[in-house]
Amino acid sequence: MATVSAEKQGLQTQTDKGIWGVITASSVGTLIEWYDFYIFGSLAAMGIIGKQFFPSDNPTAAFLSSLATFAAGFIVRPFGALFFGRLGDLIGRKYTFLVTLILMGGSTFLIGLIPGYASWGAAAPLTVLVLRLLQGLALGGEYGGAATYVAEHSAYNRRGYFTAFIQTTATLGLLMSIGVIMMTQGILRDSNAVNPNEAFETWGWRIPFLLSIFLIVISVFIRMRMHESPMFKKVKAEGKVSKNPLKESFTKKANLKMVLLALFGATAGQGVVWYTGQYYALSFMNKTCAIDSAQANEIIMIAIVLVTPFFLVFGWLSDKIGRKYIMMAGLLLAILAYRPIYQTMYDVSDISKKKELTEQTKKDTKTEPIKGKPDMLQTEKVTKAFEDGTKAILITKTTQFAEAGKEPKVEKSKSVTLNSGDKWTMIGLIFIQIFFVTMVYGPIAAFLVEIFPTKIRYTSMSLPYHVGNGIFGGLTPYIVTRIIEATKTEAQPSGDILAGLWYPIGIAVLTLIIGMVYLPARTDKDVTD
Amino acid sequence: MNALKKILGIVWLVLAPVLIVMMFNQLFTEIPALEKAIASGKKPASELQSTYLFWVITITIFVPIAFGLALFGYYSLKGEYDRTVMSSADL
Repeated sequence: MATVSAEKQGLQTQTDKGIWGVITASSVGTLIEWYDFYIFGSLAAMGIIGKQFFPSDNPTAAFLSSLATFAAGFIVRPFGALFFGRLGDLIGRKYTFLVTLILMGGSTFLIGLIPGYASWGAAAPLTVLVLRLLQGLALGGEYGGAATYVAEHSAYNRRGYFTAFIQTTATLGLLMSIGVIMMTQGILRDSNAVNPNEAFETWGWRIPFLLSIFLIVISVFIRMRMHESPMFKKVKAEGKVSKNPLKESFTKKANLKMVLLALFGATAGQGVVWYTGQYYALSFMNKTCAIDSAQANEIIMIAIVLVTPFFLVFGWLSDKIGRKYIMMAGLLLAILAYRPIYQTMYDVSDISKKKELTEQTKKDTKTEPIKGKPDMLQTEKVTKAFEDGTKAILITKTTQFAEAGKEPKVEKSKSVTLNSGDKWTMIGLIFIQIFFVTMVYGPIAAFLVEIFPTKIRYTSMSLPYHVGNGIFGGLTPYIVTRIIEATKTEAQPSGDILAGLWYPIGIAVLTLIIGMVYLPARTDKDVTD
Repeated sequence: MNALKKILGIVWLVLAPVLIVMMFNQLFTEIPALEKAIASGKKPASELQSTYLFWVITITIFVPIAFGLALFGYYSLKGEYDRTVMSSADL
C-alpha cells in the first residue's frame, strides 16, 4: 500500500497546480459558514441570546436555555452530515456544498429578523430553535465536503498542510464572529449610560446576523466557479459511484468499525479540546470571571490571531512525522493542563484577592418607573478601582413592585476590567488552550480523509467528525455549565467552578487511550481508492 | 498490542452500560432533590424545566453513543482491530 502508482501520482500532482484556488474557494465558504454558526454561540456566551429569546424571570435558566438552543445546532450536525454526505457521494462535492452554503446564510439572516420573547412569546425561541437546527444541518454537510474536496486535490506528501487551511476556518470563523460583534458593540457603545452596551443588547446584536447575507452572496459567487473534485470525477467516470453510501458506510461492518474508531479514537477528544479552549473559555471569562464582555472578546481575538499559524505548522508537521502522535500529544497536554489553567484564569480576575482603593469608589443610584408598569426600578452602580489597575463595576437592579406584599426582585451583576498585565496573562492562558486545539485539529482532516475510501468518503468522514466535534465538543459549554450549577449549595453558592472540566478531561482521556492503542501511526499515501 | 486491544474491548463493553446507568441514576437523584428545593422556595420553579431539558438532551444523545462504544468494544474483543485497515481493498 506504501507505493502510489504513477497514474495516481499524476492525477494528484496535476491538480496541485490549481491547489491555491481550490483552497481559497473551499476555505472562504467554510469560513463564512463557521462565522454564521458561531455568531449565535458568541452571543449566547455573552448572555444576550438568553435575554432576548427566553423568559427573563430566571437569568441562569435563560442562559442555560440559550446554551441548549446553541447545542441543538450541534446535535443535528451529524444528520446534516449524513444527508448532505450522501448527496456529496452521489452527485458530487461541488453542488452539495453550494446548497449547504445557501441554507446556512438564509437561516442566519432570518435569526436576525425574529422579534424577541417580550413581543412574540414562546414563538420566538421556537423559531430560533428551528433556524438553529437548519444552521446545524447545513454545517453538517459543509465541512466534510470542503475537507474532502481539498484533500482530493492535494499531493499525498502535502495533504496535511493543505487541509490545515480548511482547519483554520473554524477558529477564524469564531474570530470573525467575535470581531463583528465587538465592532458593532464599539460603534453602539454609550459610555455615559448605566449600561454602556444597552443599544447593542437591545437591537444591535441583530446586525452580525443580517450581515451574513452579503458574505454568503460573495461565497456562492466564488463557489459557482469551482470544478468537481478530480477523484470524484474519476470514480464517477468509472461507474464506481456508490449507489447507497449510507448503507455502505454504516451497514458494512468493515466501514462501520472505521467510523467508530475515528469517533472514539480521534474526533471525540478533538471536539472537547476545541470547544473547551475557545467557547468554554469565552463563557468562563464572561460568566464565571465576570470579565467585561468587550475585554473578554479582545482577549480571545488576540489569542486566536497569535495561535492560528500553528494549525498550518501542525498540518505541515503531520505530513513529515504522521498525524497520530501530534493529535495524541495535544490531548495529553490538554488533560494535564486544563484544571491549573482555569484555576489561574479565575485567580487572575478574582477581585476579592485584590486591594481596593476605597477612596476611588463611586456609587450612583437611580430610581425610575418601569415603562408600562406601575413598578419602580432602582439601579445602583458601584465603580471600584484596585491597586493593581483592575477596575470593577457592580450593578444591583431592584424592582419594587406596586402590588402590596410582593417581595422586591433583586438582580446583581459584575463586570471586571483587568489591568494590562493580567490581560496578557489571560491571553497567554487562552493561547495555550488554543495551541492544544491546533495540535489536535490541524492534522485531523487529512487523517479522516485517509481512513475512508473515495466513494463513501464524504458520508463516512462527516459522521464521526460531526458527532465528535459537534456533539461531544459542541455540548461542552452546556454540560460544563450544568455540572457547575449542580455543585452549587447554600454553603457554596458559586459551586465548584472547576468541576465541569471533568467532562472534557474524561472524554479526552478516553480518546487518548483508544487513539494510542488502536490508531495507525502512519499516513496513507493513496487516497484515490 | 492485540491482547491489549482485546482487554480494552471488555473495558468498553462494561463502560458503556455503566455510563447509561450513571446518567439515569443522576437524573433520578437530581429531580426529586430539585422538586424538594423548589417546594421549600430555595430554588425557582423554572430550574425544573431547564433540568429536565438538560437530561432529555443528554440521555437522547449519549445513550446511542454509549451503544456505539459498546459495539466498538465488541469489535475490539472479536479482534476486528487487530489488523490496520487503510484502503478500500482492505475493507
